[in-house]
Amino acid sequence: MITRDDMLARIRVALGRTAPLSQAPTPPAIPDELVRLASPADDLPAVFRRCAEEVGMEVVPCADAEVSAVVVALLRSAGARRVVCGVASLENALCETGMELVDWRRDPSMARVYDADAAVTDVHAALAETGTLVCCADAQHSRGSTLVPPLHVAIVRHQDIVPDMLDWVRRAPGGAPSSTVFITGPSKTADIEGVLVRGVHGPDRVVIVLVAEPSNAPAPTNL
Amino acid sequence: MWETDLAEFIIQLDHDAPSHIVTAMIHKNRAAVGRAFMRELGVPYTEDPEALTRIAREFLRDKYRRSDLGVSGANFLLAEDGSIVLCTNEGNGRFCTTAPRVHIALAGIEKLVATREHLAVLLKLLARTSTAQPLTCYTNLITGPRRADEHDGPEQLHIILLDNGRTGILADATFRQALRCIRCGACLNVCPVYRNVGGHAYGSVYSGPIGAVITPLLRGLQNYGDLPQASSLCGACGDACPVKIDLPGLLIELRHRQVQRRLVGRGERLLMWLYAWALKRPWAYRAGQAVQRLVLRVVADRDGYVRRWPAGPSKKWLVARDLPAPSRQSFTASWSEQAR
Repeated sequence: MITRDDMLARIRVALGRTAPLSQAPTPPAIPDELVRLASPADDLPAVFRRCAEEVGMEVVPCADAEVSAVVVALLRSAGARRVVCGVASLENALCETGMELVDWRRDPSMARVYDADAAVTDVHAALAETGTLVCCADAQHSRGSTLVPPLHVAIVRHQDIVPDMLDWVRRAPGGAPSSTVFITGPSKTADIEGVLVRGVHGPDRVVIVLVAEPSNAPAPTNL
Repeated sequence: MWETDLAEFIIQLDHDAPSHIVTAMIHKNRAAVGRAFMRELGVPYTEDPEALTRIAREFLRDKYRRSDLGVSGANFLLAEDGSIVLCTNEGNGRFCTTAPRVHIALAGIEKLVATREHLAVLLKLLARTSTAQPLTCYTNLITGPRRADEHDGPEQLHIILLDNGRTGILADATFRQALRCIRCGACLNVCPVYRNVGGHAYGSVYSGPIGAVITPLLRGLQNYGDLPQASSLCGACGDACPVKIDLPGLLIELRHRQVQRRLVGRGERLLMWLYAWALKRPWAYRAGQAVQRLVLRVVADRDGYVRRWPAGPSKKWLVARDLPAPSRQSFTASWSEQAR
């Protein structure tokens, strides 16, 4: 066991310094032209959809008014009876269909989430570049709902989509959430002889409901 | 204590060791997995990867739920906001850091990156070069334990930073670049030596060209002297490396240090000294060649291959190789005859 000061002293000696730096060194700038794979000029919903489908997620485009009908139809066709709902505005619609809404709040053991057939969540952002969902933990969003049930239905609105991960890291607010997960496809493995199998520990199906902006869309507020 | 990555879980059940830094059980086939599951988990034998994966899923779900402690590594540590970053495809990394009450993360100090922008660049590189994915299915930034108003996640998060020889590498200006490694495995996948001998032969969790460089640096060149020698120096690893570590150059530098530090045997040193001496004197070189030609032609079998040798290291060398005997005349001799 060595202390923090011992470790920092060793690093200092290894780098040939005799005293701690008075200010942090400036890391090299990131050249956008090398790193960026999508730009605001692209048709972001189309790029996002193509990339999300390439990694094995399903994408269902719909209009704002259709969201609850589309989600209900999806859950019905998947035979879901117990649902974790992380989107308050959909709770009534799901209840009316007779599905059981799993109470996932205030239960760190996630006991009931383990018995759920599906989870419906929104996202904090989506990356067009890679077809990625960005899901953060907070009071309204659990870590387990996007992981434990075998079906994850994610509601992505056009205004959630940012071109590139670079845009997300630059736009995200200073205080990081306790957990941020970038979801790029259903849970997968190819460990046994390189055969691709889905749904190892996480969901084997991720369905994205891609919602077009209503004509009087407010300015993006998600980030 | 249970391993949760499917490959590592199978390796744990089968009392085996990983052989690749990304796909740990690349050396095992489905029949070995089926037998291990039947023997250790008491399930009916199956060879179907999908069925085997389901069995592991059910078995490990129960373990996640009942465990108090989840242990993870970290692919990166983010200096800017103190996050740890975990990249997994199966979701085991998320389960281990969500379901148990306590999360302990162990990470080498070389995993630190300065800013979120830098992290974005490295994430783009890692997934593409290790498994040709745009990003791993789950790339998780963890910034502390569950907060008061949140509903799940661990109560405590402890991060253990490991030096364990890394500052020794950092102090060496030549080898410092080896700490840039993001463990993508690209150098293993292109290495002709790794592809023939497999990961176990490297005697460490780090196999392939990067293993041949960092294992001697972390555990002593005197203990792992074979690793830098076991390379054809074809340079494929250096070309494949996404963070531009000069792997072939570092392997040569390790050989150089072996000579400097007298880690090479007396016999080999004498032989190399003689060789260098002869190379500088054309008459000695030619005389040496003549002797070698004569001796090899005498000991060769009738079909022109040398298979037997009386004693010494050459005897071992010939156990698995046939050496064609040299022709009666040297190339330079035939050349001058032709020219006449």
